[in-house]
Amino acid sequence: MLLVKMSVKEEGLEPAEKYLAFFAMLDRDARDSLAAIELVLAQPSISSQLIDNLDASIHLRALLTDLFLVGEIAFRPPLPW
Amino acid sequence: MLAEISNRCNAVEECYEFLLAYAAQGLPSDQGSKSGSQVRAFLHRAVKALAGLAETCAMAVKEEGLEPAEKYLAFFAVLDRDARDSLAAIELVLAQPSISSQLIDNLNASIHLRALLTDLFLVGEIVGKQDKSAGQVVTREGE
Repeated sequence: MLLVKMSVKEEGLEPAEKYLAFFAMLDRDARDSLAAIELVLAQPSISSQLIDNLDASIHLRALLTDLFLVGEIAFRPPLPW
Repeated sequence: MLAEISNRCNAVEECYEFLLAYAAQGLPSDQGSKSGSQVRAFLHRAVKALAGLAETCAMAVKEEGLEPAEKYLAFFAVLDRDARDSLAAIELVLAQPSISSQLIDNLNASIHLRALLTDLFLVGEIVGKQDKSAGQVVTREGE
């Protein structure tokens, strides 16, 4: 999160508070997904069914949709004008 | 303890299945139909199952010696938040004088409820496996 805050400042992204509000949400979704992934990793055996349930996790889906949005914003080509 | 978690997960999942069917019936209220008389009972059962669910899971980590404990507890903290959010939504519905299919359809669409359900699918799968392997140990010991 600190890195994100620094990036917003360094890149001069404006309005900064809108970026930071979204990244706070991304941070929470990332932590929730991490908890689910690490719970799966803690199992002695990982079945396809277990991964199917992980894939279905709303937290993981929330994170992915956050990342799609960030990816689109971060890597969009500059406007021609 | 694992059986109790499994029973709580089942109660919530059975409630959700009933709610899907209830939403599809287009009922204007919960009065005057068989499923209308059941909807509050299913919701109350889910409330009972959700109250203290994360605490029960955290106790199971200790009692069953699940390791690494901190990974389980981190996930159960997420489950706890989702359970509380879902409980708030379910109790809001239960507080209404009449429960229509449309209201239940909106409850079913709740992201909080869906997050909880997907948490429970994961927990159910893991608990089921733990319970099975515990049973195998007992069988082996009895041989």
